[in-house]
Amino acid sequence: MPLKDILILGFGSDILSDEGLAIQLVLDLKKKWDHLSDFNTYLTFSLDVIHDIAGYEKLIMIDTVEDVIVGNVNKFLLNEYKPTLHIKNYHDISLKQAIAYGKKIEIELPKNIELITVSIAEIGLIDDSFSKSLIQNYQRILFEVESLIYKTIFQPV
Amino acid sequence: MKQITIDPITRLEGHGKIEIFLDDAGGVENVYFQVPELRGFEKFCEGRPVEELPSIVTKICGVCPGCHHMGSGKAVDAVFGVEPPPTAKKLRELFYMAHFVHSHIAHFYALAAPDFVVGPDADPSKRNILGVIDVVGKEVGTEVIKQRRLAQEIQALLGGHQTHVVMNVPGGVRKGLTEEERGDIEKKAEGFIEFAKFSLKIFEDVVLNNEKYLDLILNGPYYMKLHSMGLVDKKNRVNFYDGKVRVVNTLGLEHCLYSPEEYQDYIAEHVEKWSYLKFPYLKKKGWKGFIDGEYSGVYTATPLSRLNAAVGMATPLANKEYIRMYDVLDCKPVHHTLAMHWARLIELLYAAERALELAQDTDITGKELRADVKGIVGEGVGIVEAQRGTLTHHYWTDERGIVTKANIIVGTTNNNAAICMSLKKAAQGFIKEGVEVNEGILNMIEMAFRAYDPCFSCATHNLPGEMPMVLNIRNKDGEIVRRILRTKN
Repeated sequence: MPLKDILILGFGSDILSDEGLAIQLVLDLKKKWDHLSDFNTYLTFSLDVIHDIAGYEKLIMIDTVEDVIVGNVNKFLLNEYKPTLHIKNYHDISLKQAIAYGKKIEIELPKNIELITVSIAEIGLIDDSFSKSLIQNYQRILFEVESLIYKTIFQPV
Repeated sequence: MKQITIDPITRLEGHGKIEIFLDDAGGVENVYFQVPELRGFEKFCEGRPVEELPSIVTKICGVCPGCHHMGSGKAVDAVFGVEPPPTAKKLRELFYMAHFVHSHIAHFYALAAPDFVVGPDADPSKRNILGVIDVVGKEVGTEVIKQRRLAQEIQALLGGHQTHVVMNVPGGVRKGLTEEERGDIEKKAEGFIEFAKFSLKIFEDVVLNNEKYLDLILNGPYYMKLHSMGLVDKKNRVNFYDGKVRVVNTLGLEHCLYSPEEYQDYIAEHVEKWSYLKFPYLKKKGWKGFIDGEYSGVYTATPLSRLNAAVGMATPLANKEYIRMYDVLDCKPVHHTLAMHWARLIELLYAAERALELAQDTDITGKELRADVKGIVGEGVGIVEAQRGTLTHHYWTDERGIVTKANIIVGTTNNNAAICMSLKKAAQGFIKEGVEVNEGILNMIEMAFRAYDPCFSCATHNLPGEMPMVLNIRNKDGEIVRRILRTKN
């Protein structure tokens, strides 16, 4: 299978207020970079994602983490991975185990896997709009996420 | 009295906690299975236009969104007093069969197989799906992913999105199927059948042909006589999408057969202050507590209970396996908790065969996709079988169709009392004076509830779902003498 280039995934739920942040970020990134990358969104990480990421050179996953401060943006490599709100141990299969599973069955996985996390304070809140503090910080967060992704896109594998 | 707490419990959906109270002699006096999460999703439905609910409830959690979509869609049909045309019903059922294939494969290979293929008391670091692949081979691992993906593709095609399904509208479905798409699904369904047969063969080779495992199923502390519930067609055969709910008693005799809108005449819910999860029971039997036997009101709604409540499967290969299971176990109904794994694989075969039947049905590419909605009845109930048990959606609306009240009884909730009792039975069987409570024993206690494939994020309507569990062991004075926590991530 010829390698495609970049896949950007957002995790979260758009009816869980701030937990839908990564979904919105992916929608906004897609508007701008649709020609540069493929995009997709998921409620949670699962083993099925392994198939969807096959064939890409670079994978960027965006998810939220809980913190008292809203809007901290960080980037991690796979070996630095710590569970986020929606990329964790569902079905007893962690992200690392899923990657190991993919390797075991010889799926062609991305050489470069990065995780971008954004901190939010409110979790489990059922609402289809963001909290006030997240709305105030959204453009900055989008800019910081874009900057991190930009580096990845133009960084050789 | 000592106390054991298992937290987190692994390989389930949702957050739970097991408290085991020991007596002075070191035996198990009582076991509490708690779900320390708030149920609240029904409130979120209130105030919404009812036709929005089928697409909202798919976001209760990401584990079985298709079940909620179908149960909700049927309830919405009832609220509008409209019956979908045959093509729409068949498309819904076809979607649903793919959903079952997708889910049942995951349960067997990712959740159940580690206990049997790797071993119930194996090193926990190996007792997972990676360990399973090490034993059965990478080709099987590849097929697991492939077949799940193909099932997912069918769901995405028919449902509009693989997880956030938008298929159902009042009185039908949004889109139909082209001949080319039908042909593609037909080929996929043929593959599902082969994979289901292969999975049953693995179960036979690994479990049934292993004397130790067979003994564990038949003679281990995993046996309770409870009533069995399941949706059946007009011939009383298993049906996941449509029909009436049939309950047979512990002897296999029909206790009741009711239409969805009659469920409140037959089912009531008991509340315990120590759990957010309710305890449904058979109204005519009454709540008699956490006891098994014919006198009890406790029932199960699981793959095994679905088979128990029916007289057979509606497809030939699955029916053959159905007959074989009861022959081998030499009883009907079967009350062996771990036989749920076998029943689930028979259901996998049924779902695959039924998907093929539907894909080959000439009606499936029909153009009549929706019946006209003429008014609002104001109340409606939809029942389907979720992978984890009978799922009921019940909505009340005002004259504009705005939801004023919603009640959802999810599969796992039906089994709440049975899960508590199964855990107690397993704990009593394995924890005895002088026996060191090690990881293997804890896992064999967990196996009692894992068989139910419970989903607590859904049952409690907590968002988002988390999986972990705690096991506490308390002494006679209620003090924790041992706590076992598994890392949840």
